[in-house]
Amino acid sequence: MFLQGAGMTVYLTVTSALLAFIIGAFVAIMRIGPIAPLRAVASVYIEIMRAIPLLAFIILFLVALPKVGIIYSTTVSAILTLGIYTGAYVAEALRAGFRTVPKGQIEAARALGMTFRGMFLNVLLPQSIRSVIPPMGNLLISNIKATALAGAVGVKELYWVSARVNFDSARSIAVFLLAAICYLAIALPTGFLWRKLEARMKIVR
Amino acid sequence: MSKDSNFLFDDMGPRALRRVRIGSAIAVLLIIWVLWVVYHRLEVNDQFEARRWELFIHPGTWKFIAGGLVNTMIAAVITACISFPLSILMALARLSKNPLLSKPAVAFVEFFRSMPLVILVLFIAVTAPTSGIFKMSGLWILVTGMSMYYISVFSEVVRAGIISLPSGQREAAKALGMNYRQTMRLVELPQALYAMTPAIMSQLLFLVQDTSIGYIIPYEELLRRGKNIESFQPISILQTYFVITLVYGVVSLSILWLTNRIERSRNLSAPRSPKGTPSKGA
Repeated sequence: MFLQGAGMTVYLTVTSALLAFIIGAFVAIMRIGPIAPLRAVASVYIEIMRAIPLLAFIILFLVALPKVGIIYSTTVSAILTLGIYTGAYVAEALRAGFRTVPKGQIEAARALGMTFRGMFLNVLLPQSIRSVIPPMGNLLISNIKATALAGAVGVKELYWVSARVNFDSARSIAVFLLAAICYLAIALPTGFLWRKLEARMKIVR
Repeated sequence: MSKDSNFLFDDMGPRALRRVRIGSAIAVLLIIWVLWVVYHRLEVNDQFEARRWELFIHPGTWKFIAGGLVNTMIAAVITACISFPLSILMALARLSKNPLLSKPAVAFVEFFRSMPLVILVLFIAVTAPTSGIFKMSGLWILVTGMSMYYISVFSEVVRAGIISLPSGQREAAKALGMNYRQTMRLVELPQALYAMTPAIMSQLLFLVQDTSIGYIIPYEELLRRGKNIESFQPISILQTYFVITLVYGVVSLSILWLTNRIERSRNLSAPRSPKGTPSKGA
């Protein structure tokens, strides 16, 4: 049962992280691009997501919406809500990354006659992606933890399993430790691998 | 907004301007379409009927919500007051050369940082004594769980602040004959905390938002109050959670606004970045 829960946690984490990255990348580009309405939408979206607690967001979409007849599968909605929520933070991280590239490089690219797209793909992105890896790792780890909130509304992942077992049996300490070990077993290797990636991708100046 | 982006491209010529204008028009149409779809879905499900909203005409509802907000703030303030001072001690312990201090600190921080807060709070809620002298109310269950977590989080922030100080600061303090306590109290900690204020503020925002986990214990904070309203008036479920989310939004935005203000006033008063130029984002 715990293994199934852990599997669900990993599944939720990976899918929602991918979704968040895609959303985040799009929003970050919208945020710095020349089209004003898209820029406004992007910043409104980021502000809204930063301003509401994830649990309130999840309850709004996974508890309230189905009860009024707008129903999607729980797992799919969980992935969507987590992805949309984390996407805003990914966008913020990417934007902060864009800012780490010295202005002179962008001006140089422009002076060379590069278009916005050329400058973005060949100058800005390759460099900022590297400085963005550490914050992305933090976001990934917090995404693992965020999936636990989806358990609170009935997605059958680790939190749900341990809450369930807790009510069935009185051995709550053992259950807690088991859940803790599962989370550590997911989070610590992720952090370790991420630090490896960080070391590999580091810019050696 | 455009402040961030205006160095990314040149002033646009007529062709680019036209393209941007067309793009803007398409974008506006798309936005309107999305909003209309959302509106339509809700309309089809009768979510705009007056009877679903009339709950929020009564001042009693708002008093109830305000009470929840007060409880949220109580939990947040207590947690912050407990966890922040302890986190400084934890950071110092982790930086200590004595392995008897640093090893347990590392274990504590890493353990509580990788645990989801919900599990922690649930565990405390299940094992906490419900009777006797050590009876724990929902508030204290929530505060205990959150404090464990935020001690680890803040201690990492403080530690990063201390590490990032130039080592010359410590050496200079030593050269002046200061002992460890004086160095920390007078030289390193003030600078580290000053440098880390933005990070601390953003964690404080998370702290306030995380009190919503009181929902599961239950502790009568904002989100839980939403559930109470909903069970009292089931037809207004979506409206209730919408309003609750809105209240969270207002609270968070005021914290964000405060954060920005602090940062701005710092940038104006103390140009600390190299060569006296005010740091970026001023």
